[in-house]
Amino acid sequence: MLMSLLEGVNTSGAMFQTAFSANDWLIVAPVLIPLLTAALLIIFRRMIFLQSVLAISALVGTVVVSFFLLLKVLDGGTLAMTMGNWFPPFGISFTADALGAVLALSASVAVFCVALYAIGDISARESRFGFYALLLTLLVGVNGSFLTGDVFNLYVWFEVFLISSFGLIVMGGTAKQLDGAVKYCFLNLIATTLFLIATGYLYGVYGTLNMADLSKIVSGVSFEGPLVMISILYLVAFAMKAAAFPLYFWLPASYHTPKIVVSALFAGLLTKVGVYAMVRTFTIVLPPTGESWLMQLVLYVGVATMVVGALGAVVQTDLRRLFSYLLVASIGFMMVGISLQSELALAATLFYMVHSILVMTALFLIAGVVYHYRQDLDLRTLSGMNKETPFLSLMFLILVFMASGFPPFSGFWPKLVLISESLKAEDYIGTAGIIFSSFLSIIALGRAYAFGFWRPLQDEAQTGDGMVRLSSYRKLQYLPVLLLIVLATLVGVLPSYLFDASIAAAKGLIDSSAYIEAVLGGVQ
Amino acid sequence: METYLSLIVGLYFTASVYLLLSESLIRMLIGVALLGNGVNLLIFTSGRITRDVPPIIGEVAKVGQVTGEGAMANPLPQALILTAIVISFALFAFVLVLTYRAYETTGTDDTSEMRLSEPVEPGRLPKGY
Repeated sequence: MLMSLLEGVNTSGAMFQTAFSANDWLIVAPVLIPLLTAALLIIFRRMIFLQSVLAISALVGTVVVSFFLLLKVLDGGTLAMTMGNWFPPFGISFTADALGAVLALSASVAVFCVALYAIGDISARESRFGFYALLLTLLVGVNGSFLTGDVFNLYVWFEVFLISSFGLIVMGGTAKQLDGAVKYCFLNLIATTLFLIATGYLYGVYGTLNMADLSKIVSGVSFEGPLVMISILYLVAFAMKAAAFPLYFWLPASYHTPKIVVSALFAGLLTKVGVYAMVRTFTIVLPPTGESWLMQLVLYVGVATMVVGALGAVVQTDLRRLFSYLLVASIGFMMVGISLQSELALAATLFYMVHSILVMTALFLIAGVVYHYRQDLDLRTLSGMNKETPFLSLMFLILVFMASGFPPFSGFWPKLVLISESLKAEDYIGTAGIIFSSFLSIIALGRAYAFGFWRPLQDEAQTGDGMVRLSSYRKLQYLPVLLLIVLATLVGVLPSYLFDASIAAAKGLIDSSAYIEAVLGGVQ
Repeated sequence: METYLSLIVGLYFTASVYLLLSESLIRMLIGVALLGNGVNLLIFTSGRITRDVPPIIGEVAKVGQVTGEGAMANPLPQALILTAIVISFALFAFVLVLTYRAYETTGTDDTSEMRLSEPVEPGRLPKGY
């Protein structure tokens, strides 16, 4: 039909004449596989058994293709594919650079672990309601955000994972959950609308929304006038999504209310997408050349975020709220990394994001395992877990070490690099903030371990039938936590693999010529 | 024309921010709807306005000739708005139902009284054991 319509029209000036190769399809595969599977799951939503099996096999496939995509990107540089055979910037570009590929792989691994956990946690009713389909569409949105090369398309992926997260957060429907969901939904809706406003202005000023094209245009423009307003709008929108200092209130208000498996998923992925968008915007799309007061602002916001988040974590009594505040604090570290803008600092930011995806998911999942033992996550009453399950206690202790950034675990290296880079840049506020916030995190997590696990049992009525409650399905829930702990330990013990990839990503962010070449190179 | 439209966009944003700052969920909902419409108008304006021309490449431009012969309305903002309308409609519908369910379950639509997920007096950990 299309071909007959175009007959006699010379399209060589507007479209690629050759079909895409298998390499190009690899770029969209981390989005395509979960998307198609989610559609299948909705069709077969009455077949409960099929739901988890199909979802997990699709996630294995996504992890595998993301891994090959990452290998390919590290080996041959940034890959790009433009939809509909149009020349960029007219078609929507999908661009996989090292930053996007690393994050897509980490996100796929985290969702895979969450799905493993969900087998023992999600009832047949929730399966029919579409839990696994929503889980997959959330990954579609997140991976799409990491791999797209178009600002408006990024907005669309934001909305894809936003609507999936809306569906997941209301699952259960108790008063407390709906209360948290209202706050989550309104504030996130406003944040994405701000993102859209900024995108409207961006289009109005520069006439293009392709990231590579924008990078080419904006690199020569001095940082003033409309560019300042657009940058500030993006900063506010992404800071709200990432839960940075004055805009983080929705996160501790809502992340402890949904099902634990859902909050683990959100904690692992959603805020990191906000940080990713910030990294992408303030390096490739709108590099803050000349005046760097914007980056100074990002630094102050980052320091305030990490200190306020850690202070919040210290006073919490609910285990999941404590973790939520730690999540807010971790966003601060990444923002300090963005504000420094040096190659090592950006690499450390990416390293920290991967660490945070793995460890935050594991922390919330282990809270779920604790909940299955005691039906209680309140540190005032939770006690004596160490005597009851030494193994779980050990896993929790390792996670405490990981999240507080003890060597040799994965949190240590990015903090080390960030401290040395902020000292080098003479940003002493950043250095002080990182050290103070890490110190407070150790107190908060150490107290959580001391009260919940190490403290002798306070109330005999609490325990006794813990192992009876853990049916064989539930024992399976140890598996994803263990898997995440092993992965995060490997990242910490052998940091050079991830760090090399992060350095490659940071190089690509600072010098965007390779990125521009990959997207627009085939045209002229 | 763009100037007048920009002023209208400003009015939309003002009204929606005012409504979003309210404590009543219904007002906030109307604020969200207004914000969405304001953004659509903003994108439309930022694509520049052309009168009486369809966003279609005419017969003249067909078969090998250079495109852009004669005036043509900018089709991209229209595509962007169409996408944004669909998305904001779906999200608004969801939030509307959510608000109603929250009102039914918690018995209030006043955000300052919705403190179930964040208790006013959170309680402290003991100093030691």
